[in-house]
Amino acid sequence: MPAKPDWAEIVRANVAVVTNAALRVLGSVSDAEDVAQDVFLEAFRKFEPNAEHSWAGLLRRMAVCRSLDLLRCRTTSAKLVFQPIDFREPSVDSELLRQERHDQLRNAVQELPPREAEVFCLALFEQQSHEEIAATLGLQRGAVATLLSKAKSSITRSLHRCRGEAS
Amino acid sequence: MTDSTSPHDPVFSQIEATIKEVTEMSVTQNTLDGVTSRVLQALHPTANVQPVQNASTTRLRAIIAIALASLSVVAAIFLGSVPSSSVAFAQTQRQVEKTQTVQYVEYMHEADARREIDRSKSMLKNIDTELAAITKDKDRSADEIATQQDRVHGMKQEMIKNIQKLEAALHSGKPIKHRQVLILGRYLQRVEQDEAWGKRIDISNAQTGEEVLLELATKTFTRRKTQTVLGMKSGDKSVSSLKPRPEADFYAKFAAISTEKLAAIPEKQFDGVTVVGFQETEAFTYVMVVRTYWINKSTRLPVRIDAVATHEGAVVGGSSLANFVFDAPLDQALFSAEPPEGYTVQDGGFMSLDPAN
Repeated sequence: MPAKPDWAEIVRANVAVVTNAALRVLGSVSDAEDVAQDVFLEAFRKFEPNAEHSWAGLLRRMAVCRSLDLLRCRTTSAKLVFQPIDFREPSVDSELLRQERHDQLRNAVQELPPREAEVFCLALFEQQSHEEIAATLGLQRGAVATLLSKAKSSITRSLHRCRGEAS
Repeated sequence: MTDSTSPHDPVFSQIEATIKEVTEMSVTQNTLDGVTSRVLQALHPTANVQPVQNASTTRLRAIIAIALASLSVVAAIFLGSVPSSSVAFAQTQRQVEKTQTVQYVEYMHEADARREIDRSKSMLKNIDTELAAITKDKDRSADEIATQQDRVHGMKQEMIKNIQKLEAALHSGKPIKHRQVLILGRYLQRVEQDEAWGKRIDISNAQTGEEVLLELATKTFTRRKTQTVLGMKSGDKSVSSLKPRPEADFYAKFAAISTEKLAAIPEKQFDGVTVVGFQETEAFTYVMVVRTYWINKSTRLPVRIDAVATHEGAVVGGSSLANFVFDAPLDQALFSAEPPEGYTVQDGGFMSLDPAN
């Protein structure tokens, strides 16, 4: 009979999954660290280490949910007030523009209904299959596909609006 | 009606590319080790699990530092590229070379002003969250909380004023003045900028590396001695001492503009003056920059320099240098690096942001 896992083992085995899932939603390492800590502490309070959970799936989902909560209240991360572009340093321009695209996407995600946002992040940021998401969220595979399709449409419309405003 | 998720839709392609970049994001092993260690430390005492040293303190530090940085970043003179062609433009370069002083006004592009407003508003939301967190922070004394609240509150007021100023400027439909630049000789430069919270004057000597800042509202004189680079993601900072920057010289930059890439464009009138135009386009990874140099046909001196950056056809920023005055006498005292009487003197530095870190 395999030995019961303990919390240290669960934390070590899943810290990358949890922290990286939070990073992808939030785009900030320090915020991702906060979320990862909160997720493990919440799991510690709620679950027994030997409970028969799929720890990776459960913790990943918790990380995505908590990150989306944080994203909704923090919106975009604090950034450089955009001074006239220093054309001599295009690499900085490129990085700022790349971050702006990331922020636009994250803003669009945080405007989605919670369940759609969750499915979108798990499917596209975390590259989970429809089947895995269905199992994690307790949904039918068809429902996952529908939620994902709706999320993609909303996000595309939202980014169209961003482009319109920018031009 | 078009399908908004069509693979032919450029926005859809942009989303795909952005998602790919996001999926590739991951933290370093050091970060993972840090998280693991803090979580295990919190879990170990069993029953009474106290949250680990709350990271909102770290966040607050980073946000305040970034906000301060954003308020003190000095926009660089934007004369870009380099070397030679058209005889006419080369004549202009020679004419500029002969002058002893130059003054001009730098205007902000409205796309930059809108972006600055949006970002300042986002930062204000963060500040409110942080103010609430500070109030609840049980690890700080009442005095510490009050001091921190005052600082953050002051910063918030400055940002609100800045937003209001930019919104008013956009609403007026007039060019948005960013700052006025005065240059004496090759290296002495004075930059005057009206901020929402008062006037600030930056004086520099590019040859010696001396940099001072005068803030008129608070009567503060800062000798800038260091350059701090702050990681936008991590909040980490590195500090180095300031060095002479002869390359910051306006004259050297203007002389180095490449005339080979310039195309002449039809002449036109600016305020009754006939000007001839020269234009160049430079492509960067994400932006295309078009620079236009308008030259007074009779004096052969620049009248206006425009730079516009676009990304996938949309204007994302730019700036204009205008109101050029060459060879007007400028008092050497305007470039003094000594503190005026009654000013509080302090040491300081420049701060810039590293978006990749």
